[in-house]
Amino acid sequence: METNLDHSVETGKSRSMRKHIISYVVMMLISIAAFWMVANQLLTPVALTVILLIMASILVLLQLADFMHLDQKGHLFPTIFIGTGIFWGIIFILVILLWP
Amino acid sequence: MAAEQHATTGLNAGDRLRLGLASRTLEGRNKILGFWFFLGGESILFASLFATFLVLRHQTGDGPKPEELFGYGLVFVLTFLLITSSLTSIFAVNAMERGNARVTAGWLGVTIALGLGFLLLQIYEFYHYVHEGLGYTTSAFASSFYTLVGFHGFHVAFGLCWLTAVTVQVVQNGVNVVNAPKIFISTLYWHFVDVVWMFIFTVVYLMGSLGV
Repeated sequence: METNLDHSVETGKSRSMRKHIISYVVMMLISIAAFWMVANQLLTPVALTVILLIMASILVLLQLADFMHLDQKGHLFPTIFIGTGIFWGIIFILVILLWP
Repeated sequence: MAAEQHATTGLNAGDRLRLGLASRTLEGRNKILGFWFFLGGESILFASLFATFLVLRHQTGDGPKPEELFGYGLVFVLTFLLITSSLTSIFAVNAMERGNARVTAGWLGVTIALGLGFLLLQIYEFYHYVHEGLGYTTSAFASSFYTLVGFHGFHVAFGLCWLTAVTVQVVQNGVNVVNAPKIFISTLYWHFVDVVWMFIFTVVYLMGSLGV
């Protein structure tokens, strides 16, 4: 059970900074692609919606894992906390959307 | 090993040095842990507002429809500002972990400036929509849109106040084990605001302009 919440990997290590910058570039590219696909109506609206939701999920995962350090060791409990929140959030949305 | 443990951190000397500045004290680590619990609750809160918006988005009545209203340019600039400010807040934390107060304050300042740009553009955006005939009570779509996006905007405004308060502390006291967790947590909050925005620009603006 690790609850050290260690962020020492940040400590001046250029390797982790390079990783953050790569994540940032990837996030910007995904965002640009999302806007570009919608602006040019590349696919049918339903297909675009599915792809957009997948892209948004990738953006959020990158943000949580890399920018918010959940991929580092000692982050089991934070992951459980935010994971539980997101899980119930999705349940709420599905219930309200699919309510007869 | 118990005898070697430090009174306030509960860690032995070796572990203490390996930990980053923000998580070096037990208090700091507990604050960060507690903050993640808060973020879990915030996720559910925003999910409820997203659910409300998704259910009511087609109920535009006589008011403007989302596909008539939303433009891509402004929303893309908003997205760019927020993702970039997320990166600059990481630079601030990185400088903090190296103990460099000047650089920390500098990057926090850049983050605040980018966030302020976002907030001002969003105020302009809402002002523009009101002039297009979309008041808060115009339609169920309007109410759910302003509530969801406005609530996010409120988070941005609150985050800006928080980051500003933390920056003042850095300028006055430098970086130390007391304010390092505060800096770290304020940037966690800022990242979370960015996380929510990623779904707002996708679900509200992009899907809204598709008319799905």
